[in-house]
Amino acid sequence: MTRYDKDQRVPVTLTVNGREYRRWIEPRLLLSDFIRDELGLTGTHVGCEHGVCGACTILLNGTPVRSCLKLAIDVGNGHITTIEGLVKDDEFDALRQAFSENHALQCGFCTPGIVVSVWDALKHASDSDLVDWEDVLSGHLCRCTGYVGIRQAIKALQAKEGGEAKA
Amino acid sequence: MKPAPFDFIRPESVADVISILSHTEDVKLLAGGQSLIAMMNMRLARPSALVTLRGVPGLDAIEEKDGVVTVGAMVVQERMRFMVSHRPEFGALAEGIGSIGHPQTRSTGTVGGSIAHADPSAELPLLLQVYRGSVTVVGPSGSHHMAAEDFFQFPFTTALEPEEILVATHWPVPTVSSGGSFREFARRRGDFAIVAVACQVSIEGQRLMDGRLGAAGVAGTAVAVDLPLDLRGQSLIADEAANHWLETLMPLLDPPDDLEASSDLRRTLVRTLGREVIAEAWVRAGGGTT
Repeated sequence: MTRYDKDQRVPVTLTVNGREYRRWIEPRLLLSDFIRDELGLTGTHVGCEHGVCGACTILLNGTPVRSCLKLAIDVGNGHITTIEGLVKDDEFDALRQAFSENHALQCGFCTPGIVVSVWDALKHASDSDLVDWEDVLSGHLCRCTGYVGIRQAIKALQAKEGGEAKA
Repeated sequence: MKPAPFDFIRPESVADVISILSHTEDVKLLAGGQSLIAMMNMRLARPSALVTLRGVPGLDAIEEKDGVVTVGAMVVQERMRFMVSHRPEFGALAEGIGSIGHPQTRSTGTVGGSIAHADPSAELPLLLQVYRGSVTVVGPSGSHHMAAEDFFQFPFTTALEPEEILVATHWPVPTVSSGGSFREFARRRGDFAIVAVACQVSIEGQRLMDGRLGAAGVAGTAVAVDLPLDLRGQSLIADEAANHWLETLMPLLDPPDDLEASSDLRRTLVRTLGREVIAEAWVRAGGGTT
């Protein structure tokens, strides 16, 4: 059993976007603040800080979670992927292009979180396991687009993927 | 919107957890954190110590034995949803879990956390009662079983003693000739339910044999009633039978009157959604329509 005092700085090691980071943090530090303030990765946005808006969504061990509802001290040796990590992926360009062409963002504040969720859902989508997009997008608040552009971008991406698979 | 400072404890076993709970004041157990961390961020909760259950062995298994599915307290909701979504007999359960928050919260929110949190509008406490489930609780004097109906007492209050921990929930597998249904009304998908209802019935030769009907968001805890004796053996084709069953549930309601919905609206929703779930459970159990 290990006990850390509230004022104590605790060493944590987290792998973010494939790179290992070691930092000394307070037990109460949120994962979202760890990512932004300790690592300077400000692509992850902080909106409501109580799990409603979804702007802070990241991938933790490959699944989307809200980083404002996780403590940095409590994710073990978790592997984290933020929007900055997705950008490195070659396939990300198609997603970015689709969002741009279909006006899937205006102010862009919610976009990093939405992109992380959409990216994950597309990765896990297959014919046998249809994605419930209503469910996926319900986890994100966007006040600019009315979700119309976002849905169009998803459709465009799926059409593209389907087309490539057939070719 | 940051949590107030707290000591952080990492136990290695359930015995460690009980020892901490027995010797520490104002301590909270942290499971998936999807309610607790939000409440701490808003400073609605400010425990002086937090005990993480992540990594404590023995809390994340799903096992089926003797017609009962046992789900460890730390099993995440999305994993349980995936498991029951391939089991038609757990239809209402799959629908209900799918209504909890969003995939981004179910991926880390736990079954045990939701049950122990005992939010009166939450889906899992309602479903545990409708499925006649139970919980296993471990404390300084050993472990014991408790039926769901006895476990939930008041809003956010269960029968757990301060030094006890919920380690598993138990879900009896409904018989083959049974069916269930779940409905929820919320302003936006994934919001807290204003009203949620669930029903499970088993039938034999087009006759009702057994059943359970419940609602959440309408009293201090989720409430549920058995199929009334005088409906046993009847066929649930007529609306009167469904209405009669619903009338046995209505006296248990004490719906809140707030900005989200008036108590009258909540009662109306229980009646409307209630008729829908009863009808759907009947059809899914193999009952015919006229």
